[in-house]
Formats: sequence, C-alpha cells, structure tokens
Amino acid sequence: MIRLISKVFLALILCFPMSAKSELVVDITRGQFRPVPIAITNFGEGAPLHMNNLGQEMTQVIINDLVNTGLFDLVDPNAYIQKGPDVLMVPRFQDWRILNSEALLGGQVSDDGDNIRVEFRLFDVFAERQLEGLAMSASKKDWRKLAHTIADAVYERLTGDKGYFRTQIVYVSERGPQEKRSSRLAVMDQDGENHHFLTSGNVYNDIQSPHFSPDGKSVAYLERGRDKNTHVRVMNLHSGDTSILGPFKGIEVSPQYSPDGQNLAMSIAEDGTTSIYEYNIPTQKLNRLTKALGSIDVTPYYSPDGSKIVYVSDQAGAAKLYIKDRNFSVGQRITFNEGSYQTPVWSPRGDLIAFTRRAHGQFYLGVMNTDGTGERMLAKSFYIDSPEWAPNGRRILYTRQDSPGGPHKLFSIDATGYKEVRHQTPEEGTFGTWSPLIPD
Amino acid sequence: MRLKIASILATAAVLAGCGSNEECVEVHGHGGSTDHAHQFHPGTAADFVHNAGDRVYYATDKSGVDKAGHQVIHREADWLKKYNKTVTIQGHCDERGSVQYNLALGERRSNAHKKALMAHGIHDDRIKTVSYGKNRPIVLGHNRAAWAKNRVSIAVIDN
Repeated sequence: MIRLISKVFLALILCFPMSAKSELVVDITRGQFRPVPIAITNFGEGAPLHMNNLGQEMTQVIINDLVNTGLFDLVDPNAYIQKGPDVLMVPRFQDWRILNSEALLGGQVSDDGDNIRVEFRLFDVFAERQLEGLAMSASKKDWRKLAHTIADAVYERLTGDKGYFRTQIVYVSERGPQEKRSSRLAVMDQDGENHHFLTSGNVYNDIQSPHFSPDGKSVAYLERGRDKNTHVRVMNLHSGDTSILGPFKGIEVSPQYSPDGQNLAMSIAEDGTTSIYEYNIPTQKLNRLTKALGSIDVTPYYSPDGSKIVYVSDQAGAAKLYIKDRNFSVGQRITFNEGSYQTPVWSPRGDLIAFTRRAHGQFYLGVMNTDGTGERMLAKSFYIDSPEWAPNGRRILYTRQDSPGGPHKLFSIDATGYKEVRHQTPEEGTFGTWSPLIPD
Repeated sequence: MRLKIASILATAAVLAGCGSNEECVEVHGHGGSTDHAHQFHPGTAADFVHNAGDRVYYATDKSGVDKAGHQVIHREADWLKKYNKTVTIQGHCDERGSVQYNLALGERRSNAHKKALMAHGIHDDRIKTVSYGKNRPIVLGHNRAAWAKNRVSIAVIDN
C-alpha cells in the first residue's frame, strides 16, 4: 500500500527567471528519436545512516525502469556537481545545464517508523521549472513498489503515457533437451524481480501461450493433458487454483481474453480444420467465429474495444493476417506480402498490430497499421514468436532464439524499434504476457 | 517397387530419446521393410513399425499425403485389418514456425493420416490423433534434412 502524502511545491519557484523555452516533453512520435538526458540523484544521500543503502537501491530501481524504456539516457552520476539533498532544496540549474541534463530528478528517503517516506522533485532544467513534486510513504517491505511508483510518476509527467513499472510478466520457463523439454509457468515483476514459479516442473509437461485476464487476476494457458493434446487451463493468480475449460472436442490452441474479460477466444483443431471460437465465461457457451473448411485459423486477438478480431489464416494457401468483425464469420485479409505472417497482437492504443513474419529463412518482429498498411520491421532473428504489448502500448515483449538450437530468451522493444532490452530469466523464457496496469 | 520405397524410408530411421516409455516404439520407426520380418512378434507394435511402416512425411507448411505416404498407409491399413489394435497418430512439424500455428498444422497432418487410413476401411474409433506441433522434434538437428524428418505424422500402436 503506497500512500501519497502531499504534493511538494517549490516555494522559490517564482524567483527563477521564466524561460521562453517550451516545456520538456518526451516526443516519441517523431521519426528521429532522441532519448532525453536525465540526471537522477542518489535518494540515499543525506538520509539517516541506516537508510543510505535502501535509498541507493531505490534509486537504482528508478534508473533501471526509466533507462530500459529507451526514452531516457542517464547522465553519469559521477559528473554531478550539486549534492542530492541540495537539489531537493534549491536546484542550481546552471550546474545541470553544463552536463546537458534536460530533466533532473532529486529525492530523499527518510525513516517513518515502519514506513519509508520519500520526497522527490522532477525539474525541467532548461525551463528551470518544477514539473512534479511528491511526498509518498509505504511499508518498508514495499520499497520496490514505491520506487516503481516514483518512476511511473516521472515517466507519466515526461511522456504523457501511463507508466507500467508496477506490472508483472507471466511467461513459460523452459529447460531440458529439445526432444524432452520441461516447461513451467512463472511470474516476475516487469524488471525481473520477485521471480517465482506458478506450476511444478516435476513431471514432463508442455505449457504454452499464457495470457492475462484484463483484471490481472487470472491467466489462461495451454497445458498438455492426459489425452496428450493441449487444453485451456485457467489459473487464479491469487489462490493458485486452476480449472480446465470445457471439455471441448478437439485440440485447443491460443486462448486469449476479450477486453471485457467475459470471453476467451481460442482456436480448436478438429478433423483437419482449425477454427476460431469464442467461449463465453459466464454462460460456458462456445460460439464458432470462423468456418473455412480445411484451413488453419489461429491466434485470435481482440481489438481494444472488443468489436474485432485479428488472426492468422492459411485459407489463401499461406499464413496471412485477417481481421473480422466479431459478429460476422468472414474475415478481411490485410496482408499481401510474401512470407508467413503469424501471431498478430492488437495494440492497447488501437492504432497498431504487432506480428511476426517468416520470410527468406528469417523471422521478423513487425508492426503495421490496422488496415495492413505501413508495415515496419523492428527486429530480426533466427526465430521470433509470441509478441505481446506492454499495457500502455509502448513496448512489445517477445520470444527470440538467435541461432538454431540456441536458447529462447525474452526481449522487449519500443514500438518505434528503439531500445531492445533482454528480460533475464533463470531458465529459458518463452511466451511472455504482460499484466495490465495494477491499480493501487 | 515396394521394397525400393521401403529402403529409402528406412534411411529415415532415427535414434531419438524416448519422451516416455510408451513412445519408445517410435524411436526406430521407419517406412517398413520385410528384410527382418522374422525378428518381430506378429501383431506387436514393433512388428507394425518394421513391417508396415509408421510414418508419413510432408512438404513445408503442407499436410497433403504424397504417393510414398499413401503406400505406407496402405500397408498400415492391411496390418490393422489383420490385428485388432487401436492406433494413435502423432502430428509433428519442423521448428520454422510459431508454436501455436504448428499445433494446428500437426493436427491437420495427423488428421490427413487418419483420413487415409479410414479410406482403406479402418474405422475411426480405432484411430486417435495427437498434435505435438514443433514441441517434440523426432530428429535433432537444424538443417533441411532434419526439418524434412520432423514434418511427419507417426502411427503408434496403442498398448
């Protein structure tokens, strides 16, 4: 539980010369992107002695969060002239300007009984203005969450987008030789901390394609059952309880929640035809959405308003992307280039579809407009699979395998193709799914 | 002619680890041969693998059964008419595709194999289909030869 104590205003703000410069905004829509240089002082500096380390660790969490977005460059802390606690009092903007630091974050932790109290201020160095100033407190065990909350506040103030640093990633952890893989469901904070396994790895199993429910409370995934085929299982993340959907006749593939959480779209393969179905959770009714005989229709993904579904179909001979209105059975093909198009995922902003494509013996991660135009490739590797958007629609999480037989790893990249970051996992990582923004 | 095809397919015999006990029969599987027929007890899973042939191969992204595949399936059907056994057909894919798409493709291959057996008069309640997609390759390797052997449906006699 994080408590906002107060807005912190800078009493001296009116004494600063007002600059004619426009306000510092991280503009991510520009073609030529340049990360904003930001200085972040050590929050442990000037804190009570026993809080020094905690302050420093919180600072590191904030730095990692912000720098890993690719939107910020950290100005080397060794070059800082002004001390952290002094920044909190009165920043000497000229000291930060000569370091070319455009944004400045100063803060300090203090001891508040069982709680930590943090006060921080964010400045626009060239305009010489305070952009944000907050005092917050949280239980000491929640210090990471508190640090992420501060990073969220900075991110939101500078980009105008929702911060996503308090989110989690659920993924499939794999190990063992190729012909005898063992896979377990695992969860971690978006920065890799607080990692733990959600299913046991004691027996041979084959877990695939987990997806968060929109409320973040459940995950639907595929599990190979006693009949050796894959079936959809739903796990309540709070209790750990699981239940199998159905049973349905056929092999189940690629479950995906609707944005209102009432439906699960999935594919069912039977008699050589794989069609998309919608399972209504409250009524437990199964409704068939595509009907092309003999074709493979897989990996359905809802538009953010839930009215449309983008999916893969090979009805024209090779795997291409199609969009259909949820209420009509016929889809419109949106990709016409060569190669095999796979795993489309609709951005939560609604403007883009991310996908993977196999062409010329390589896999690509790409984005396109929702009418199939404006295709741009963001990453290339031997194998890329299972893209998923971060909940604010900025970054795309995906599975990458760089060489034949090499390990599968989780990566994310900004939707502009900037700043590819590895998400470290204890074993091999595949099928990452990003939690929704978790409310306080 | 049959022997010639059988010997070509026999070269596809592989040594892979067993996922579990009941699947060990597929390890030495091939397209069937009469060379050492006497070594296998008639009506056993091993007899089926060696004397009928257990696997059908497919082109990239395809699930159509070719002539060689039909010849294997014909022998399988003859064998199944002789012995009162049930069969599970496992569909597999090579590694060059998304995991989810390949689950569907594996199903289509195992179904193509099943339908061809049914065309030879084997009742569908004796045939079960399973798809492993790309997740349990039959041959370890990352080249054209390995991929060709992993685009396969394998008929396994149930115990």
